[in-house]
Amino acid sequence: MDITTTITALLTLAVFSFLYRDNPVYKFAERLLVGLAVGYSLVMLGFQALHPLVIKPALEGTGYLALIPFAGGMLLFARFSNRWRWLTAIPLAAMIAAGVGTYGPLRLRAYAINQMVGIVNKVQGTPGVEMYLFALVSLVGFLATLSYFYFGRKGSGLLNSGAKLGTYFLMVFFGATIGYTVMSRMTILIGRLDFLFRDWLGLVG
Amino acid sequence: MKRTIPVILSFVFGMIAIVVTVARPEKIQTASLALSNTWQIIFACGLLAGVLAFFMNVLKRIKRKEDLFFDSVLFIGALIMPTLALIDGISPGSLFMWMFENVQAPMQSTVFSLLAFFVASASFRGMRGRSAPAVVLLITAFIVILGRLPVVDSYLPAITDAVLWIREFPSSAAKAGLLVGVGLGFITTTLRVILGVERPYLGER
Amino acid sequence: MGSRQKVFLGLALVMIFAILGPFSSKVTVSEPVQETFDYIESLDSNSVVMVSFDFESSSFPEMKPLASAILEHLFRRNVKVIGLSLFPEGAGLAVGVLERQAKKRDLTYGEDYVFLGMKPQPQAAILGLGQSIAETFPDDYYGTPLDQLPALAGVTNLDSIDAVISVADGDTPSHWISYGKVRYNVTVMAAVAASMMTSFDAYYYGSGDLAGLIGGLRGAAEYELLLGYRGMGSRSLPALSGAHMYLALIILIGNLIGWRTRKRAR
Repeated sequence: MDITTTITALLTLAVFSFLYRDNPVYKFAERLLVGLAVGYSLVMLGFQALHPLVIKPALEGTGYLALIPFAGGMLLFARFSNRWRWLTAIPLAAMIAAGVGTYGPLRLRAYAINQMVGIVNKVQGTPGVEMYLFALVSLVGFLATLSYFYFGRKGSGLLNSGAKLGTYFLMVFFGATIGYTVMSRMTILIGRLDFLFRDWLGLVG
Repeated sequence: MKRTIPVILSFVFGMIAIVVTVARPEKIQTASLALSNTWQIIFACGLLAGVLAFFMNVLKRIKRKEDLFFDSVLFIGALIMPTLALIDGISPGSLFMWMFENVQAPMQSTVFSLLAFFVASASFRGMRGRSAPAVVLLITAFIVILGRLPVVDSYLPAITDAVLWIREFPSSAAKAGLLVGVGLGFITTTLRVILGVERPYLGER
Repeated sequence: MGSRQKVFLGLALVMIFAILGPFSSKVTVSEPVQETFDYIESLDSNSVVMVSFDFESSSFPEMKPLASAILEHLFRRNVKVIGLSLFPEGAGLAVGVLERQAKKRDLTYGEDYVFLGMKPQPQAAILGLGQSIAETFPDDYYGTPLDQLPALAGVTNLDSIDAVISVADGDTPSHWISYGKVRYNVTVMAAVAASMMTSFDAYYYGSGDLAGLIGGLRGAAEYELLLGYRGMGSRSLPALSGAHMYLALIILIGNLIGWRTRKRAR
């Protein structure tokens, strides 16, 4: 039970105190955490992004070109001035356009085309009657979900039935997601309790 | 000019991004690296602007003296990490890493672990089968919650198999449908932003 | 004590009992975990694998067993590991995990493994790595220029990498798939938080863009079983079982109460 582990344990218990009710001890821990997190991000941005990409090359004289996007990025600070706020649109436009310009073609392939090919391959390439039927379940589910998204549940007929079926497939997806999310949350709690009982109190070997 | 320059930049960067994404990688190396580093630097500057906004906000709150003690904790917390990093660097074993590994990271994961309790509480109150789709969601979640347990593996392997079947067929089919919808939709967004129909950088839709 | 606090207390007691008690659990290995294991098992000392630690400290208790198991396997196969992170907190956590795992096997930094550090914009970073690792990460985490690191000799971009393993608590593997696999055709595998499993099933079971998928504490325990040791993943299974059974019970009780209330109202 060394001093470092004890400090960590006390802060952990301070956060857990919120389960009883909001209190000054929890508030202190929360504020400290937020402050540290902001400070940490600032350090990482400086040491890991701006220093190696902009500052170091400029100081060593090996690369001044990075100063151009840096100057563009500095325009983002214009948001603090009412008069010059419009300048922030310049770097934002560049960044947003770079994002959508790369997302569009790549997501079209990764999300749309490859997924459609995957479903078709599943149906075509599956050996055995049982697996073939399961693959058909995938195909039906895929088409039903698409039908729900594009046509919604309006009117009657095949499209409406398809969309209704799509709802059920989505409920299966969300149900599975909820089940796995529960596992995820419980795991994090187990980790913290394990720390308290194993590392701090030494009650577990 | 305030609107024209960003729209032109959006078009130029967007077109460069599309070319960089679809052309053969070896042919556009310089353009690709220039785009990715520009994007990276502007993004880092954006995060820096966010950090500055945080500091300005906290100082304003301290000036108002509404919650002086806790706002001071917030402010001092934000200064601690950069100070430690400048004194001792960011390598393992440094004061900065000590603070991160023993104070910040454990507190952050403890805050997140509180969700486990709220998930349990929400499950008790909210997970009710009130309609047919809700029943499907509930049953799927129930199967997944139980099906991933080792004890169920040993005594009821059919449930474990059911979970894996759900993941492989209906759930992934629904997700594939979602992805196709998003992928196709994103192409529309890409074209609208690059051609200046949609201008999110100007705060317009 | 309100009903909410009673539910909280019940959960805490079940978990503490499971952690303190002499319980252990065994799992069976699922197909995605086995495939991931088999792929890494096929690698050797000529292979280079990039491990991207794309998570934050909030999910570290879940990601640590996954990251540790994968690194243990890669180091056992004498694979050269290039670590990096696309999240600020991921960098701080990753450097600790890498150092601890490397120390267990007496590995040398710069020769057996390298940690490139962090870049904040994930898509830009992956796009840049596809062209040139050195231009995207001019220095490693410690500020050493990459040309001074023997492990990176001949490793220029993603073409030189045998696989990328994204250890992630969010959507970052989808960026590795779009920008890495689709654009540069690098093999991508994912070790994800359980909450993200269903999101990546379509890439694994459907399009095949993911060559391997491990998820959550259960996935870490299965991987540890394949590696033949009992780590954090395996040790925590009894507590996870207890928590899930408790949750299943309270869902049942909640629904029974709801059904009785509706019946009385009619």
